[in-house]
Amino acid sequence: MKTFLITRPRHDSGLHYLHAWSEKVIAEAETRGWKVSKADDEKANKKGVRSRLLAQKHDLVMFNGHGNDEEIAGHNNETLVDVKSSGLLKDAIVFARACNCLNGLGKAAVRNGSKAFIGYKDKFTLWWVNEDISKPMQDPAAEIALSASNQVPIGIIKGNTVKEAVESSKKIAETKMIGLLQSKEPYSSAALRSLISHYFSIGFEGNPDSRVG
Amino acid sequence: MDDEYAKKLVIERLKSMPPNVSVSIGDNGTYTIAELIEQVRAGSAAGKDAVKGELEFIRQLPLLAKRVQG
Repeated sequence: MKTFLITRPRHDSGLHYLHAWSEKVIAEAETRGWKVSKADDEKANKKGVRSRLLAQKHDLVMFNGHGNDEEIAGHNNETLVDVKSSGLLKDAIVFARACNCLNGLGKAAVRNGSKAFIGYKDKFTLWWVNEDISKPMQDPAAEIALSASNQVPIGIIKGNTVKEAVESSKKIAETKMIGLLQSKEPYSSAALRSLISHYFSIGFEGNPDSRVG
Repeated sequence: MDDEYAKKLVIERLKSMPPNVSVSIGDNGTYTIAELIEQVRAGSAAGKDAVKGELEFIRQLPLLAKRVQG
């Protein structure tokens, strides 16, 4: 059985959106018979996540959280994995939906045995409509970027290579950006900014042809 | 482009956005438009990230426009 570990802290508004939108990724994995290990809210802590990583190898590890060049964080911004501990991600394909992690952590993870590490090299900025925060799946300022971002792990779950999953996400983003540039919708400017943040920042380290299976 | 000019440009662009949107700039925090404009004025880390992001946005727009025309 294929295995998927996902972290979903939710201690601020931006993470609330990542948490909600990750449901679609989880649903895709469960539909395809994957075993999903969810480290949600307080469970997205250093001890618990490292314990899960040590106890079992995961085919796909997805982090939602805040990050920087050297580390990825969980609940209350506690560091979960950093450059020094990146060997915990050995043999996995990793997707870090967090700022800047690709630069240092991504390179270190691959050096220490990850098949590939997909992430953002710059800040991942996300816009939303204040009145829609209680229904993040219907928020016009966030929806398009998070849908494009979701395409990365969903592509991996469907059996795409890392390169195919990232390119597919970028292709969707390109199509949507063209629509947003021509749009007169009130929140298209915010949606476009979210999408551009995803499009120009996402990339990967490691073997482009790696896939699960 | 000097820093003060970049700040003014970004503030004007942010003012043109709907007033009821907010943004998460990673671990630099979450801001409403009004708060973000203040961060830009103050030159905080979040403000600097906002300026950097907006200037990148401006730089990329012609490339996107070409795709629309193409």
